[in-house]
Amino acid sequence: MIAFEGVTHRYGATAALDGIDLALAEQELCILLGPSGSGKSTLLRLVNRLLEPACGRILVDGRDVRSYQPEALRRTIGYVIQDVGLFPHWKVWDNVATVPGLLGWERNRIAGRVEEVMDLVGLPARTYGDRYPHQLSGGEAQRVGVARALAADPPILLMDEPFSAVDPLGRHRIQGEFLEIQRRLKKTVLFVTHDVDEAVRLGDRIALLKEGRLVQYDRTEVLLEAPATPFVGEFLGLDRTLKRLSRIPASALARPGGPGDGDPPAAAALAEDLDLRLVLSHFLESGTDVVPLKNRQDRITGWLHRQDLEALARIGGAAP
Amino acid sequence: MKSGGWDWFSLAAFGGALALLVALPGLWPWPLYPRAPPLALLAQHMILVGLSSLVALTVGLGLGIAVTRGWGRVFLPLARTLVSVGQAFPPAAVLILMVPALGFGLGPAWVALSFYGILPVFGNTVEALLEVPAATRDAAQGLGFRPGQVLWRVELPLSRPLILAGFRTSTVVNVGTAAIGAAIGAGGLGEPILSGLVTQNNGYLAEGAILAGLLALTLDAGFGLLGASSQIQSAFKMEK
Repeated sequence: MIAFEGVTHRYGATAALDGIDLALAEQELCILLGPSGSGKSTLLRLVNRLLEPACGRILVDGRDVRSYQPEALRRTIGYVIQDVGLFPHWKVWDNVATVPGLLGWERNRIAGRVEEVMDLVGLPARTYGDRYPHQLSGGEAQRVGVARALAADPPILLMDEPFSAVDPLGRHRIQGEFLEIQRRLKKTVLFVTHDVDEAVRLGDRIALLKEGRLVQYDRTEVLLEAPATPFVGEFLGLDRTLKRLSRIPASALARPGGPGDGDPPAAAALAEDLDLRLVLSHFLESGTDVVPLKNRQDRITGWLHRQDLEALARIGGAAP
Repeated sequence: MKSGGWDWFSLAAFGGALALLVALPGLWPWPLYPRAPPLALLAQHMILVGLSSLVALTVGLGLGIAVTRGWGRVFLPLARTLVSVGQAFPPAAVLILMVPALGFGLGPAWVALSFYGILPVFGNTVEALLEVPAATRDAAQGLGFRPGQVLWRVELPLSRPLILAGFRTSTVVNVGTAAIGAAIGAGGLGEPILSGLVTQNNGYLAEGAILAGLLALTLDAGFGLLGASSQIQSAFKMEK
């Protein structure tokens, strides 16, 4: 869907990107992770031709982006940026309707789509459509930004630190909501962030960049389990095993049999969709070795053993 | 920004007084300038101001847009210097300098007023366009606006209040400067003022001064309405 082939970009004499080869899998969310100045935003902006590479080429749908007319290309790619960039003189409704309008859709089709996509981000058009951007909270504005990017149903989304300006609590919520949306829509997403936790939470794959070079590109689990260089390990943090556990739901380690006979009270059980990092925290706190899991209906669905969790954690723990 | 209500009141009061005083010359308690009726003087004055403001708006806006485009940015520092130098000249000096260059009459006055009027429009256009948030421009581009659409649909609407303020200054100042234009034979409301000064006739002087003052106040109130009624302005202010 998106591929970079030997891409180099320069600002003046300094190389911002140096020979990047990277291919995105369709319908996956790929994180571009790295410290500031690593070239991740530059890489993103090459895709919709807001920047042009010095060497190499970028393919979208197998075609060199230079063969597209820039504006036509951009209208088929969703674009979300950190400062949102809503048009302050347009109502929310008009902001969301921007790209369908540019594409010349019929009035009715635009109206239907605006409602649909605003419902998707949890801001019904009836309530929010007539507001101006300055009447929105930071989180709401960014949801509108996402809705605007999704309005013309583009197969590709480019997101440049979209949630960084939202306060921590709101950020966690909007990340969760975005994951839900992505699970349903299955867009091919290129997502820039410098926040490791965000990368681990959202990314199917992570491309780690440093000083304009691609250091490692792998599935998120692999990256956490086996960092290719000391830099990668350091950047991901000493708690990368915990981060890895945070991506796995408790139900993945559930076993049918418990220690005793009969079902324990549901109150003692943990929700099966909790992540393993939280389960570990529970073990440390309670000193127990096994815990029952329950589903949303409070039915016991299995048992999670501490030794299983530790075994899973150790696979990664052996890596440098 | 003032409320729309006050501007409506000013517009009605000043505009009404102006209309009455030129439509019914009998209202004046003293003898008026005899060589032309007040209506003709006002008309001449407004034509001079109107024509020069038109040029000022077109050229000032055009230049302001040009030096804020990618390809025109190199001229931005130069243009800014020219503006500040130009504004340091007193308007009377600009007018008088026209005489050796273009002679006497309406034409040279028009050129001088146009030139002088360009500066505030240009200055404000540049400042306004540079103030459009980078994220807004980036989003517009990234969503697929063509360069012309970025300008017309995003940059200019957001810049409107400031550009309008520049046009307001330009026009209102030109009402006063145009009165000095009589000194180089441009006619208008400066004519009775000049004649009054020369012949020590305070009646003529007051006639020209009062009408020019009312014209300036009326235009100012009109511009105030244009600016204050804009939703854009308040939205933009809040955004920043």
